[in-house]
Amino acid sequence: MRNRFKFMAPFTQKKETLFLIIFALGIVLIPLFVKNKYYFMVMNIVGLNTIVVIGLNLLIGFTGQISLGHAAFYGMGAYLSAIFTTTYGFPPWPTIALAMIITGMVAYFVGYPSLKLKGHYLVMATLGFSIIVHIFMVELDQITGGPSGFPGIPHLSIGKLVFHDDLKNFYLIWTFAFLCILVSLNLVNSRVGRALKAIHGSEVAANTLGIDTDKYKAKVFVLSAIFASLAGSLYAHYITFISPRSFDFYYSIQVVTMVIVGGMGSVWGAFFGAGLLTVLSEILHVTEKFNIIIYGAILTLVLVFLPEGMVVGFYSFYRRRKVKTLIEKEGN
Amino acid sequence: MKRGLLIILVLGFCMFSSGVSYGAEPIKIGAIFSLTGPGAHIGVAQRNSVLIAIDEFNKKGGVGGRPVEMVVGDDESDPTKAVMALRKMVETQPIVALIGPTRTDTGMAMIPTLEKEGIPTFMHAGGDVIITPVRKWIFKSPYRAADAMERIALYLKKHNLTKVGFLHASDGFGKDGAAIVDRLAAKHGFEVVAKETFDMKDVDMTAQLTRINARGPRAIIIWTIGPPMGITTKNARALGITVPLFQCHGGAEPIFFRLAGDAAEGVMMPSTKIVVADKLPDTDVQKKKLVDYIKEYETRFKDVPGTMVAYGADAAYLLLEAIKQAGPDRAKIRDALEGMKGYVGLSGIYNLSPEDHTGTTAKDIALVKAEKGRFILVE
Repeated sequence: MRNRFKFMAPFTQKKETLFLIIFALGIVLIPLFVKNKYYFMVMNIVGLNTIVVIGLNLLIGFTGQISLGHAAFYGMGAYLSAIFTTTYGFPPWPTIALAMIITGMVAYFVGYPSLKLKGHYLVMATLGFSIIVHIFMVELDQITGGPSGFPGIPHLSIGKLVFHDDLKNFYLIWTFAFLCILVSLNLVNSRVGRALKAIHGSEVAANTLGIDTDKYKAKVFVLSAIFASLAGSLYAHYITFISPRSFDFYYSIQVVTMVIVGGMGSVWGAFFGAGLLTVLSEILHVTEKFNIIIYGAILTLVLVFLPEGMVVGFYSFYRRRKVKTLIEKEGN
Repeated sequence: MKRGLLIILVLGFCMFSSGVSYGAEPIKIGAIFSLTGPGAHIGVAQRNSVLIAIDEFNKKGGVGGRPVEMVVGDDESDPTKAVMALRKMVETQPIVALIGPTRTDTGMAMIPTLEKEGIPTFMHAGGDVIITPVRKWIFKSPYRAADAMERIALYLKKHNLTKVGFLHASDGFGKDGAAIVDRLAAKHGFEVVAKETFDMKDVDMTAQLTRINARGPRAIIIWTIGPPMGITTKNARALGITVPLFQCHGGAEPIFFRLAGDAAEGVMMPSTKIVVADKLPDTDVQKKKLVDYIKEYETRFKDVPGTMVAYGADAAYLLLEAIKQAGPDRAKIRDALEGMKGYVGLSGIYNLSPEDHTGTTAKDIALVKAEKGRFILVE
């Protein structure tokens, strides 16, 4: 645990600014080279997953708590946006904010009591919660459309600009993903972030230093739920159709896997994990019925050899190598 | 000089390659099924059913010598993946039409893209929401739930069974059924004396059936799909209920006997004629087609086709017929589909029109009864 902490949030401020610039340039420049709409759709789904995974990564990486309820928060964002804008004619943008607020409040009520307890009670609470939300989606068919889904959700628009195709949504989704990364990096490098790192290192020690650990944990949980809700709303307005199947338990597992594979406690790890696993499952379609086996094998290999996740794992490997060569040099 | 030679070479190669493939170049149609995930057991059977239809079509010469090639995609029973599979196909393959998907939610998710791109699509999904309201480019082959229920209602009327108990799942399919049975009760003059619901994950429906039985129904209709079909049937038999039991139009599959065991005996359900093909009178126009098809399916896939296979095959046959009539042009294929009249399929005689994108009626539906591990034709 101690050892891992040493390599957490591994990049310096300067490097992170550089990464952010490269990232932003990537968003602007990619459409110049890519013309295939399918690639855009894959990238858009990566973007949506990135937003969810960044939030979840903050929770898992810094507080050591796991949530299996993020599919529910993702779904709440999607369904609240869909129902309010389509059925009741609310304007989409304020509705997204409203959905984020409602989801955040719900997350607080779910998270606060269970985070006060020692141990992994949040897993149980969120698991139960996500099943309840799923039942609501399926059973309230007068409102949600039930298992057949909810069609006809409008695309987002700013003035006359309607985000109706994959390219426009690419800019929209990745702008939000960029903002989420920015918010998270700022958070990690702030007083709150240091408090979170302290909690991760040792909760007791953090407590004795005057950090209200329960409060911080609940706050991170709420923030991660709000991110998920935002991604859900964007998903609903992008695909224009939602159904309960997209927000079931398997999605929760999927995003937790993305956090673990990408690297816990690393904002860039979240982006990497979401990208890798989303693209991988698409590429593996060529192997037809073996795709699940190969997918599983890759995950197992990553977890066996890079238990800290790929970004954190490779970086600490690189650091160790560097230190080793330094020692060898000095020895000479 | 060198450069000029290169250009000539490249040009020559282009002409050569296009020249070779011309004439035999296949017409591509997309096919997206739930090959993995919860819908896989139906998706795989439907892919097989479509494969047979396409091979048969190509053997007969295809479209003026050009064969039809199926590009298969898997939606993993997931709406997002379904849209991705569709995008991939639209971007990378020159598909003129699409078959599938398997599930109602994946189908609904794909509709905005299909309508925007203008791709004539024949879906396998059961939900009536797909064709209500009628959408320009979207057709579906399974019977409407209302037609299937009407088939049962006609039997009730004929045998003067006026008091009906209705048991349904609380999912979309079950709830649709509950609304339909009320409508048909008024139309065909029977009375729904009891109506009970259960959850798809329930493992025992004895309580609901006891309450229904207490109201003295002369027949019980059970509207659900999957494992609850077996559970409800077993529960009803264990309670000693002897009045006619009806299941829905998705039940006539070999798996029903595994789900319901001995209790299956005597249960009736609306179905395509595919499960009773050998018992049809020789005058039946569908018989030859059905018998040939079943033979092909059994030898090729070593499996007994159920009613879902018939829906899958019909979507393919109708689409291929339209492509043959209209050529590889999306808009023309769509128009040809809409003008398809009296097409003899495995599930019925299809009469498609601008107002009706399913094309079958209650008359096409057979009522079958489970007997000694097989289905027999009731009427």
